[in-house]
Order: sequence, then structure tokens, then C-alpha cells
Amino acid sequence: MCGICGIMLESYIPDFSIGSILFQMMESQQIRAQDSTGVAIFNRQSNVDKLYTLSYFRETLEGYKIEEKTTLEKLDKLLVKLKQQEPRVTIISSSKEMKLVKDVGLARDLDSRYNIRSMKGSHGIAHLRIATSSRVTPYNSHPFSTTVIPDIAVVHNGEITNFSKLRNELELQGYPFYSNCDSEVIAVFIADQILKHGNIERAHHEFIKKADGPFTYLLATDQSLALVRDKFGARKGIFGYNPGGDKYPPFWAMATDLSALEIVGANMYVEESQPGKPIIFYKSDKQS
Amino acid sequence: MNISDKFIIRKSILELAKTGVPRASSIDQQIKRSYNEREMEERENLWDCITVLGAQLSRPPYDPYRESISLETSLGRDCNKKVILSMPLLIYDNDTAIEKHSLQSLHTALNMLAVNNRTILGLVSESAAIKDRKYPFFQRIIDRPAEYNFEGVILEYKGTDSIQILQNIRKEFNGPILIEIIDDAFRENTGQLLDAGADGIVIDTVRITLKGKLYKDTHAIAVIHDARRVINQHYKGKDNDGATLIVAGDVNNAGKIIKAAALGADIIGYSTSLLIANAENDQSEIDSNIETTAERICQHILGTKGELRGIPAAMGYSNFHNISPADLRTSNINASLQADINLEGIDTTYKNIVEKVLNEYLLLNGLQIVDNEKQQLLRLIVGR
Repeated sequence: MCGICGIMLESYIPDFSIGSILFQMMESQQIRAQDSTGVAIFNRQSNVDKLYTLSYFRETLEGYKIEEKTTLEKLDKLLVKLKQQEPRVTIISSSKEMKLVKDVGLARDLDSRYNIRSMKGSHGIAHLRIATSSRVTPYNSHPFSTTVIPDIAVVHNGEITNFSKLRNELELQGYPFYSNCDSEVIAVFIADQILKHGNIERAHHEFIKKADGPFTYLLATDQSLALVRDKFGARKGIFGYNPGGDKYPPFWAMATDLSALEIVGANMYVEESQPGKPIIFYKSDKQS
Repeated sequence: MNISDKFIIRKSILELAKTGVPRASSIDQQIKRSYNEREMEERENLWDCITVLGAQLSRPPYDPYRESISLETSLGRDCNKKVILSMPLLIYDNDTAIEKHSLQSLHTALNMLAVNNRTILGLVSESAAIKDRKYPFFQRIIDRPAEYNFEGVILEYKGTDSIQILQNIRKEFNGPILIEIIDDAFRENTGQLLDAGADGIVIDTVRITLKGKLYKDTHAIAVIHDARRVINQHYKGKDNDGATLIVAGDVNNAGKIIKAAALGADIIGYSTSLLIANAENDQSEIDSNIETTAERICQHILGTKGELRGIPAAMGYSNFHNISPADLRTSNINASLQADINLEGIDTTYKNIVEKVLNEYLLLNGLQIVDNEKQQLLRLIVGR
């Protein structure tokens, strides 16, 4: 019963806060899940080419706190250093242009903590979680990312029933995992496929072929945003288009419930994504 | 000689008197076999101590009548002539020669399954392949064959010479080559055999637990678990390109097949004698002939196919091969130790619990030991 949503602007507007659209979509689906929430928003900045940012949770007396470290070197070196110096942290993401925040509680709690409504960018995804297989903790919240390659985030509704098998295979290949949640395997699997073939469409098709169980996920990279449903279509997943107007620029929106598309006016070309056939929205180079 | 041995002899004499046909296997072999079976029976039956987790609320079961539950299995990695089986079963002739009449029934049944039911199963035999077959035939050999009139090869591992034979066969044959290992040599040689061109390893759990030095006091689950671990370790850091693990032995019903698959088996070697025993007419019936036996074999196989599709579906899987050790639970310490199965209720293995206690003890007493020593100590405590 988790809720997922995402948006992709038709053309990038540097000052426009897509966080405000995502926040409305999250609030409209809050009835589906109340355990934890999270967002990942992609915003290209000028000095981004050389900087890697590693985000992690640090456990303090007041609870979990998100911290970041930036490096010009290889990410592996930073990871090893972090593991040696601070073994009690939990890695969240590695990024060049992605900002990922998540926590337990409702969407409005996340907003009051991280001000998600003011977050700017070209595309983003969000999640509302009701826990099924792992504990309610900030680090088990969605979106999930990976340190295999930067700028990958995934939100997921459903269950990858064979996640244990997929995870074992990926761990044998040497990829790290930082949580016990089945959704993390999507991010690592897609990252592995991108490294092997460099083709995001093929990566999603491979995942559909290999993964079992009822699932719908939204996976964002720096260049694309994909809506993917399992081959039987056991979980919902819809998308729609807002042609733009006074309030919003033109954008594509994806969600679990129709209410999330209606509240932000994405009620043109509304369609259900076909089971087993990924819908991929690519980032436009245009800038308004 | 005890009563059961006398019974075997009496049964054989009666059979000979009735049919006038001498047995293909000697009475001595039968008696020896019954000793082995008795020894197996005396051991704890760990198969029954393992349960398979069903679907949960968030993981609804599939309906095998509506959704396609795949049982398909491919054999042969880079071969041009791969063998695709409709079920993860190879009808596997274990160690006793099969009677000609029974082999004919089996041949008819496999043809019927392939033609009428689109169910392709492989047959493994030492006898020569029958010509008008519609199913893949795997020839059991110990040396390079004179001609390749079959779809697959099962080469018995007889030490390092077998590697040279394997390499020679690989040069000449473009179908799947499987290596059968009947003792604990699989622990050291699997990687080398896979590199030399083998497409899979066949392990016979009965022979290994009876003859293998390291598996004298263990159950089949330990052998399957270790064989899978050896293959996984060989592929560490790279993709497994389709090397398969075939488990033959005492895996003879749908429940055991699922448990063996969860522990890591890709294909199950299904005993021919058992299949015939399930399908043969009993002694009182007079109209026993090849066709009726073949029909019964077909029914038995189709029944097993239904069960094999139903069980993964009830676990929330649409593909048989997605079952993993994470789907198993046990309340038996031996089963947990031998195959790293999580204990019921606490979802961790017995070894992990002991390791946790050991770590706490070391910490409390300010003792520091290196990882190797800790693993040795752990093995000493748990016995494995």
C-alpha cells in the first residue's frame, strides 16, 4: 500500500521549485501510507562535474541526522575512509546532482525538517511508506540509492519476492548494500546493468525479466525517469501530462493514485503504464 | 542374514519363477543396497525438519491457472545446441541397470509428454539412445564416446584424467556436458571442471553421504548447500553464465524438490526406478504392458508438474528458480548448521547466534583473537 510519485519538467527552469509539486502529490496520497517519506530531486549545478557527494545517516542522541561529505577523488576512497573513521553511519546515496532526503513520519514532517517544497530541479521522485518486510527506520525509508554509480534513486511500491536471490548474486559480484529493504536491490541491479551495457532501457527490461513479485517502481537517473510495472501488472502505476499555465510549467507526472495527478493538474493523456513495459521520460536539454 | 535379506531373496526367486527372466541386477547388489537404505533411514530425516515459507499479506500468491509460472530450465552455457527442459527434472538412472521393458515404457512416456503435452524432459541412461525420440537424451559415459548421437553428456568424474577427457569432448561436442561427481571431490574440483568446459555438476547426495569422508554424518542438505557455495565462490566477482547444479539422490517428491531448489539445486535428477515403481502395474494385474505403464508415467509427471508450478506460486514466485534459502525455516539445530537455514521465529542461523554469544564473551573478558582463530573456535563449538 505504499504510494509513489514523480515529475519530469518538459524543459528545465532553474528557479522553479519542483519540490512544491511533489509535496502536493505526496500529501494527496498520504492516506495510503504513514510510516515514512522521502524525496530525491535532480538539479544540475555549474561545478557539478568534478564533485561527488556522499550522504549518510549518523545516529545521535536526538535521532538520525543526514550528513554529507564531498570529494574530488574517487568515491571508493571516501567510502573506505568513512568506514574506518565512523563505522556507525549508514550510507544513503552518492550523487553529483541529486539531493536525497528521507525520514520517518508524514510528508509535512519531512517538509518542516528539510524544506522539500523549496527544492529546485528538473525532475524528482517521492515515496510514502507503509512497512511490510523491514523495520520503520529512517535508513529503511525510500528513495533508495547506491554507491555503485552516482545519481540513481528508486521508489517502489510492492515487493520483490526474489530479492534475496538477486541481492546474493549482486553481492557476489562485489556490490555493497546498506539496508535490509528489498527496494535497494533495484538501484544496485540497474546500476550494474548501466555499467555493463550503458543502456537504461535495456537495464529496466533486464530487471523486469529477472525480478519476481508484484511491484511498480519509479527510477530516476541524472538523464531519465522511468515508470516500471511487473509483468503481471499486479501494482498500480499511472502517468499524465500538465500542458502548463499560470501556476506550473509543462511537465509529466507519475503516481500510484489518480488523485495525485489531479491535484497538480496532470490530467491530459492520463494512462496506466503497461505491465512489463517501462515508460521512460528523458530529461530535455531545453532550458526556459 | 536377517529377515529382510531373506525376503529380498525370496522375492527375487518368486519373480524369476514367474517370469523366467533373470534379473538385470544381482541379489547381492539388492541386499547391499538395502543396507545402504537402512543406514540412510537410521539418520535423522532433515528434509522433514525444513519448512518453506508461504506468501504473506504483502506478497500475494500467484494463481498458476491465470499467471504463467515458469519451470523452464536451460542446460548448456555457450553451446549452440542448448537443451531446454520444460521442468527442472532429468529422469536419472542412478546406479541399477533398468529393465528393457521399463526403458521402453519410459521412452514411450517421454515421447507422449513431448508430443501431446508439450513437456520436454531429459532422460539420462547408460544404455544406447532410442532412435525415434522426441526428448533430449543424456548419455552417461566414463570415456570419450565413439559418436555423438545424443543431446547431452554426463561424464563420470574419475580423477584428473577426466579433465582431459572433458576438454576433448568439448572440442567435438556442441551440446551440454555435465560432470557427475560421486564423492566429496566436488569441493576441490568444481571450479576447474567448469573452467575446462563443463556446463554443470551432478552430485549424488546418497553416494556422497555414504562414501564421502566429509559427509559421513551429514544429510543431503549439507551436500547441496556446499555444492552451491562452491559454484558461487567460483563465480565471485563475475556473472554465472549458466553453470548448473544437478542434484540426484533421495530427492523424490515435489516437497523435497522445492527444498533442494531453495538450497541451490537448478535441476533434480529424478530416479527412474522410483518413477517406474510409481507407474508400474501391481503384480495382481495381468494387462501390464508398455502403453499402460507409459500412460501412468505421463500422469505422474504431469501431476508433479502441477505441484511444481503450485508451490512457487503459493510462495509468491512466478519462476521456479527464484526460490532461495531465505524461503526456508527450520526448528532443527542440525538442519540450521548443515545448510545455513534460518531458525523459525528468530530468522537467523544457529551459527550466527553462537557467533554473537562468542563475540559478547570475548568483549566482556577483554580477549582479542584474529578472525581465523575465531572461526576455528566457532567450528569447535558448533561442530561444523
